[in-house]
Amino acid sequence: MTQLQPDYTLLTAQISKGDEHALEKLFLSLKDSVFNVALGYVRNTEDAEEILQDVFVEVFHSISTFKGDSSLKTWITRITINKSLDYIKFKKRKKRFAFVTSIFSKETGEVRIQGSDFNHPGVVMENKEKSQYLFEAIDKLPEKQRDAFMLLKIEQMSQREAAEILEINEKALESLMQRAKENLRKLLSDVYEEL
Amino acid sequence: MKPVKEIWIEEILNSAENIQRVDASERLFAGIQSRLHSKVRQIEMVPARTVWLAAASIALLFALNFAALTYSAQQKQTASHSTALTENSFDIYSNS
Repeated sequence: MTQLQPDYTLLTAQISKGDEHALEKLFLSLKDSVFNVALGYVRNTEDAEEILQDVFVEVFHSISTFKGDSSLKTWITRITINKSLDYIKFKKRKKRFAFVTSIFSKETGEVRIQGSDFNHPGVVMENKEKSQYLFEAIDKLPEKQRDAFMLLKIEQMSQREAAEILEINEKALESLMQRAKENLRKLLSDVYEEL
Repeated sequence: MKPVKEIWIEEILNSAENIQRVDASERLFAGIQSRLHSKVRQIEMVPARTVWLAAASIALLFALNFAALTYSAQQKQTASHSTALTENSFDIYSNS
């Protein structure tokens, strides 16, 4: 059975008055979308769940700043992308610190090599290696190209929806996507040479 | 025929299309509620009296600093004035 889409205008008004039941309705309606966007960026269930919760806490506190220029879903997707990028920066800082403090194992004095935390539940086992190469290359793209590729290819959003989220027109999005693909080909070509 | 490298790159690029969508657990909302309440409690834990006390302390600190600076400036001015008076009265640096 398909779930009916709630009245977002009504929910917005209710949440701005502090109604947690309205927030729950919004959560149930958009949780999967937010979770998958976050998962695309962090590629780890626990981290994506953390971001999902952060996003809805932020939505609850700052819904009064939502002007209605775009759809509520678009606004929340933007928050999700920003939260995901902040989370990645935070994790990188933490990793750098951990690397400095625990580069050597206390017991043996040997250098520790941290394993990758790539654990995207939407990637089937036989595609895991390929997806990992792809995501590593995506991470090296310039910010806007990366976001365009993530929304169109990984999230499989429509051009209109992705353009609205990135606050650009569809023509600019097409051009970003073109450059993203060209750069990914170059990056993957280098990876292939190193294999 | 496409070279092996091109086929490999295509496969990697197309692997994005095989990523399945994942459902988020409904139970995660409990975590959101707990975060909302813990934040509200944190705000409630700072009573207005403490806020006023902190503001008054800061104001007092500023006032004391200002008074100390003014006093020190006045002292310097008095000292330089009395030195000038002494120099003029006794003409200590003249050769005669």
